[in-house]
Amino acid sequence: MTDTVPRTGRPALARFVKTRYDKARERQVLLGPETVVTLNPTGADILALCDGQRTVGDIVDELGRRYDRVVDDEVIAFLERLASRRWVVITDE
Amino acid sequence: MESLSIWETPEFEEFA
Repeated sequence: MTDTVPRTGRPALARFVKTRYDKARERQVLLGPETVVTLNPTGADILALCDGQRTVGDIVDELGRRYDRVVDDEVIAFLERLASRRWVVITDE
Repeated sequence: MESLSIWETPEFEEFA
């Protein structure tokens, strides 16, 4: 397990978590064992692209088509935080 | 021309 998420890494949701839309909070949330995690819209978009097929670079490119700008370091830091909680698994082969 | 969303720093907040 590395501390930095490589751009060639392929992030995917861990098997024990799932996402759903929380109408009360009007936010996408991630459900894990004994935890509910609310995501802001940018975070939800990133997580939705974590399909285990796309690389981090692919995700940044796709976000670039949707947003006025994309801060690569913020995407990587976000994924690192999720990976450190084991909600996201990153493979790099 | 499709309008682009405004980038915000991606964040999460964790809460039986």
